[in-house]
Amino acid sequence: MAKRNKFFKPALSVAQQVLAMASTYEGRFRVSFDRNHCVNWTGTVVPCGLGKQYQVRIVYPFRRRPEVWVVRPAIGHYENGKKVPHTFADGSICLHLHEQWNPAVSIAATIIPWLSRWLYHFEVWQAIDEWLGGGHEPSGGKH
Amino acid sequence: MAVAPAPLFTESPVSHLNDLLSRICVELQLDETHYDLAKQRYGAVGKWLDAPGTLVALYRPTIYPQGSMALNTTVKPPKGDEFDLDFVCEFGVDYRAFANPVALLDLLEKRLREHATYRSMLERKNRCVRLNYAREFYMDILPGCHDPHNGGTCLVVPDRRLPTWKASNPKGYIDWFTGRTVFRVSRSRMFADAEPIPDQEAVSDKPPLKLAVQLLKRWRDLKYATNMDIAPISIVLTTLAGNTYRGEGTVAEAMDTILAGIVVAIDTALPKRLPVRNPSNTNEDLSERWDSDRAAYEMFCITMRELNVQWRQLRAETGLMNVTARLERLFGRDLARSVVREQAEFVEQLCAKQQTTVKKQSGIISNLAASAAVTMPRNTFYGEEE
Repeated sequence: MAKRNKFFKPALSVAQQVLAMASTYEGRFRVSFDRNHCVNWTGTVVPCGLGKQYQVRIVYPFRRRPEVWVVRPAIGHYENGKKVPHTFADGSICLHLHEQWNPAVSIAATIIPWLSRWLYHFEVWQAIDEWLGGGHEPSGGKH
Repeated sequence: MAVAPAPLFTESPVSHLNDLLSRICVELQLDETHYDLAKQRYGAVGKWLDAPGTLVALYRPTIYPQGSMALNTTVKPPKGDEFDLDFVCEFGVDYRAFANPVALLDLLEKRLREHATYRSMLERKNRCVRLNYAREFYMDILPGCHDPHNGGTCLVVPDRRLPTWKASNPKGYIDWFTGRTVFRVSRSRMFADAEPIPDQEAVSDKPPLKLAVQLLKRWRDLKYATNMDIAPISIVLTTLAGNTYRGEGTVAEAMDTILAGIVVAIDTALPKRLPVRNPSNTNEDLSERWDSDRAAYEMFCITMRELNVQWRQLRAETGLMNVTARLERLFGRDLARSVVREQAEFVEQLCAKQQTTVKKQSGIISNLAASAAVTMPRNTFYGEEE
């Protein structure tokens, strides 16, 4: 019998990810598949009591980093001429370092709570022009 | 048995706003160091006045705080560092022991001038003697004697300008106000009592009425910054707040009721002006100045109605940016921003300790450990340059 790598964790299947999202959030996120066979979840997030309600979309190209978009009110790479912290040039949100997520990790248990925290800090940033959520800003190049 | 921690402020719009408002009040109030310093200072003044063998000591003076220091409603002035702290120096004799009211003021002043340090800090005022502790506070010492006509805690105090004795009852006022601060226990407080989060305890401990009074005074300080001479005085705002408060469990809800109540009282009094009687001595109209200064009263009505409207708008607002902008307008830019910052830093501390969760139903950041929430794993926000 081949020796199993104790660090190896198999990727969760698309079905497992979809099921985890559905059972955790009880229908808050609607699931669909796009033309590129990526899983799409759309739903709403309110990060805090006084926070706005955001419509968000998570696009999951299987086994690759989930893309996170805030659709309405739309958030992009720039707002009022200022770069929005921790966003990619295409306007999607960068929630984690490369090594903090892999296909063995549940999207429901990571990406979704991280997005709440990001949105809270985004609102604080809008209010007082300071990003207090920590993190790294790369000095250039792709993540 | 494990007890549920107090819910995080993020729970609802009103709890979120209450946390911001409470933090504003903490920033405004006399901090603990200065509070202790003030206590120490007035204790020393009391000792000096009561030193055996002096003339003043024969009148058995006792000194105690009144006004905002006694009510715990101190508010930092917008400019300068000096808080205005009021004290009563009560003499244990009948006022008729003095030839005239000014003689009592003079007696107090004379004794204080015998002190090498107090001498240089002393300033004569109409009803009190002021000691100016630079960069700390102004200590206004109001002398008074028992009022044999009204009894109880009633005093008569000298008025230099008139000159005459005026009725006063600082202890009675403190008792009245303290009685008015009683509030219905709200749901969140019951949780808070079970196991308070230490960092939040100080913020949530103060009765909502006291916080509301601080907010009103702060609003007044900014609104009337350029014409403080016609601004509603603190005791008028405090009395109106105490009269209209109905036991709401949080400061935001207390403000709802108080502001609506004041506007109704203004309307009800029409076409006359609103009388604001001293609850501890109903013969005293605290707002008598409005009789001679109608413009000041008109301004009070206009600004109160405006505040009521602005307050409703704040209460209906969503989005932290919009809420902050409204708080800035009401209570000052730096103050509003600093409490939003404090709050975010508090959330980050909890996240770092992995004590936050996210509610399944809404996405609200919370500290619920129950099945209704998902734990917040550690992460590091990243990003991309343009």
